[in-house]
Amino acid sequence: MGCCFSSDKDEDNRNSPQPDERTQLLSDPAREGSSIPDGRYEAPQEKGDEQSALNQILQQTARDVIDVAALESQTLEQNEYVDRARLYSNRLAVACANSPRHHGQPHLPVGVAAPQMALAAQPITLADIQLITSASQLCSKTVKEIKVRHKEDLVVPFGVP
Amino acid sequence: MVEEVKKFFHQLLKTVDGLQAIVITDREGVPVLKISDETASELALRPKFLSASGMAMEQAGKLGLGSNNYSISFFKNYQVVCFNKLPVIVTMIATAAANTGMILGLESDIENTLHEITSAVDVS
Repeated sequence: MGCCFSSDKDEDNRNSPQPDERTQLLSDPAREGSSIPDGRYEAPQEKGDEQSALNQILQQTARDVIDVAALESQTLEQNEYVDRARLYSNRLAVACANSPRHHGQPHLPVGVAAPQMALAAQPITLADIQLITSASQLCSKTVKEIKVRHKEDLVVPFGVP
Repeated sequence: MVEEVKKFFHQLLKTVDGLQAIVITDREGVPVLKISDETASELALRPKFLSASGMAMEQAGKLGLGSNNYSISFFKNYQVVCFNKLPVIVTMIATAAANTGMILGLESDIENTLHEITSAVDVS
């Protein structure tokens, strides 16, 4: 009875040396206990190993499983949070004081702190461009037309008889 | 000297339009350095929020796609970019309209300065 491939072979598999999905990760303590003669106590070492193996499996599972609900319990206590923040602040002060590194300016100069703003701004309208072009053409034309008109001598003699 | 580091980050904050805060925390979200301007959301600087982004990155690393280098989360009004620089996590909070590429580009700028900050967290 059961789902596909669950079968009556369970009993055979349990004793087979090859591991499968039904192989127990830890040996059954009850079974092992029965093999120990009465009155003898030699388990501490073995039990310790078992316990550490079990803990390892638990830790590994906790590391591998995404358990969002368990994250709530991992948040720090308020006082621990404050203590740690203070500790970091002190350590940072020491680390910075010991470091000769100079913290230069960021790559962009402050004068053009956000060039993307200028680049992303609305383009100038065509009418404005035409106005600027015609004004500059007019200026250029006017400058070209400036001429010196000769009216009198450049050298004026003073007191010469 | 800490002031110098803070000044550096304040200047960095101004280089990206819409960037409101840069917070450097340990993996549990305890702040080592908190830089923000007056527009930054107070909610986003709370311990619970800061620890959540670190945890999210840690959990994302378990998806079998390798470790998570940085994460970008977009919300209604804000975006949060987290850099995995263990033992520290750098969280940048900006408006949703800010240029994400420019925020990501800050990673190389902070690389040198992060050394001091990392040494403050890493006891070993």
